[in-house]
Amino acid sequence: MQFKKHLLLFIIVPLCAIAVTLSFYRFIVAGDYIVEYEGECDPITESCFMMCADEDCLETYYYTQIQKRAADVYAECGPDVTDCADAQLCLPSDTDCSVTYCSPDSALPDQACETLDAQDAGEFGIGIEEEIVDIEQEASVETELEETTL
Amino acid sequence: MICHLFETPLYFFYVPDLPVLLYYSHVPAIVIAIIMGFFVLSSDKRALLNQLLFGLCISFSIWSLSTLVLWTNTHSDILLFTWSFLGPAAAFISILAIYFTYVFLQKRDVGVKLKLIFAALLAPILILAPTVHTLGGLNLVNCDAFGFEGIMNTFYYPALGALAIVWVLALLIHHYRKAPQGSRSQIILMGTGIEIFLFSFFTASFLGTYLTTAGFLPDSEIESYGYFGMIVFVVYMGILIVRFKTFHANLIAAQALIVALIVLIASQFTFVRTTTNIVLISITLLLTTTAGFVLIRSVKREIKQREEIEKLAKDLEKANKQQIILIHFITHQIKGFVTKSRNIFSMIREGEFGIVPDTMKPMVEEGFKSDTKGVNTIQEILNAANIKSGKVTYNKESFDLKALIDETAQELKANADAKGLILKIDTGSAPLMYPGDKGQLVNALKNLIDNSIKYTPKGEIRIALSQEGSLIRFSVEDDGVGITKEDMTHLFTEGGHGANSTKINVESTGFGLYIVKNIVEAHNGKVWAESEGEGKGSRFVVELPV
Repeated sequence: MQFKKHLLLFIIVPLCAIAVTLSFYRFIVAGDYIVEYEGECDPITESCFMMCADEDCLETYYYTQIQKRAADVYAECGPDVTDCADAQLCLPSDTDCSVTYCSPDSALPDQACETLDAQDAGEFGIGIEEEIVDIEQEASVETELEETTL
Repeated sequence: MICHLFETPLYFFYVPDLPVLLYYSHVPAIVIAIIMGFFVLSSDKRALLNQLLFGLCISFSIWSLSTLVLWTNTHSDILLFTWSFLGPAAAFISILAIYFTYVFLQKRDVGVKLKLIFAALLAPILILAPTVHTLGGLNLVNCDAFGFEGIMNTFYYPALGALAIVWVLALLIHHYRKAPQGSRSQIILMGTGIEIFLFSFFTASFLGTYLTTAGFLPDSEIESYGYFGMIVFVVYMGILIVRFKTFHANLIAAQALIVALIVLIASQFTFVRTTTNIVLISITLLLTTTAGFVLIRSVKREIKQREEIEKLAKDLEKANKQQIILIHFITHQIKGFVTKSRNIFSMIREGEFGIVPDTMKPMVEEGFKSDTKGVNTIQEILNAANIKSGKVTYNKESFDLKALIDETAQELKANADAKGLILKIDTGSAPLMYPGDKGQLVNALKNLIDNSIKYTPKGEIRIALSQEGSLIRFSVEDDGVGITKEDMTHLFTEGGHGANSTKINVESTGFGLYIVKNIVEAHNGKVWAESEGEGKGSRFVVELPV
């Protein structure tokens, strides 16, 4: 009788306890989740995402999207990924890691991928002359990039 | 891991440059929900309705506090651990809202089957809370997990919210249609409050998540508007508490509302910056506090008066019950004495004590008649008392109603003849079988015919019986004194004398028609009176379903 009356409590309270425990273990103890952050990107050799550094977009910066398991990043860099070289690439010891470069698939609809012409870069130094490439032109840019790196 | 682009909060929750609406929407809503939850629970810990409202308020507070943590904190592990329980907290809000509505409307707990359905709806979101189906990771740049939410967060709990809105609405409509007039306003109040809360909460929350994930909004600030739904809900619950004493609470309801209002106004200090605004809010706060103090005092006075009236009403009811018991006892005793006296007169009348002298005969006859009337009057009072206390049982069996009416009418014909009245009986020629309590129905029919005879000084009385489809109709029509509109309103009530009835019939107890009504209704029938007014005769109709 008492069981029927408190049926919901008898089912839900243990489930809540299990869920809290497992969640605590997964996120706080084991760090078993993915963290995504912006990695360094060289627009001469790589297809980079571009982002404005200020509201008026007077300055821009380039980045890749890196996803790594939190526990791995923590072991390599501590709690902060800033200025941590190991956080910028996938190491053999990383269990789940990916670096995403800008491409038509990974870019947002209004986002343009950014590359620099190698010759211009050589003449003016990094970032002097930029060529903004629309998503639609991305395929030809990638071919050009491959030729440059070869 | 920390979101390195964001500022670490002060005292765990405070970040100066967050959207201004955030603290204004979260803090009062959380405080009000917690106050309401604990106050309702403390009013009556054992009442299921109170426990459910407490659960609802606490689930909402957990959700709101969690979102505040998500807005202000920068540690990925804390953020994800907290974020993983947003779905379960919202699911609890949905299910508890449905459960609360059921108990509020039905005034009892739900069945095992429904509890299992609730558990089945909650279980997936709890089981999958620690998995990637709820949350997979965190974007350290935006410091959010919108891009990593699994199906439970993107689909399941918003769907549960939508289900709760529809389910609660359906329950409200269903019960509103069946509810008596008195409880409809309670249903409207509770229903409006809970629907506004659910709709604003889930819509704002869904839009916040959806628009942010889709990239239409930079953050989920829009979600903050949903929290005002809780304040509206609390206000509605407060009205229910004060007006209808729902949740068995009284004065604290007014106090809680005032405290909530003060918290709401005071929380504006968290975002105002200009001196003018600070002064205006201070004045508003001062006025609200003063007005609140006055309001609480007047509510306190009103509640005290109401409690005194309720106490008086209870005392009166108790005294009334004791009086009924006493009257029952006295009438029983008197009935015994009068019956004994009538039997003695009867025996003298029959000559069992020898030949009665002629000079004594009229006195003996008068004594016998007077005692017979006395016994009948007392019996009528006792019958009414028994009907009122539910002591009467009805033994129904099939009998010929036509024969019964003919027999009763013949029995009373002598009274009509004595007054020079014409008694016309039109009950048809065929027997009319009816399943009912013969003894009780005789009382009712006799009462109606006898009434007509008593209240008709001259003219005729027409008794009719007929069957139309599945209805048997019995009527007694007379050319008597008639019934005024005013008398018509309390004709079938307990002790309901007409204004002039005691002038014509001094022995009227006022219980006759009350007894008739109860007997007819016990047979699922209807009885009513028709009259065009004073001096225009009357017609009493009884309809019995076959």
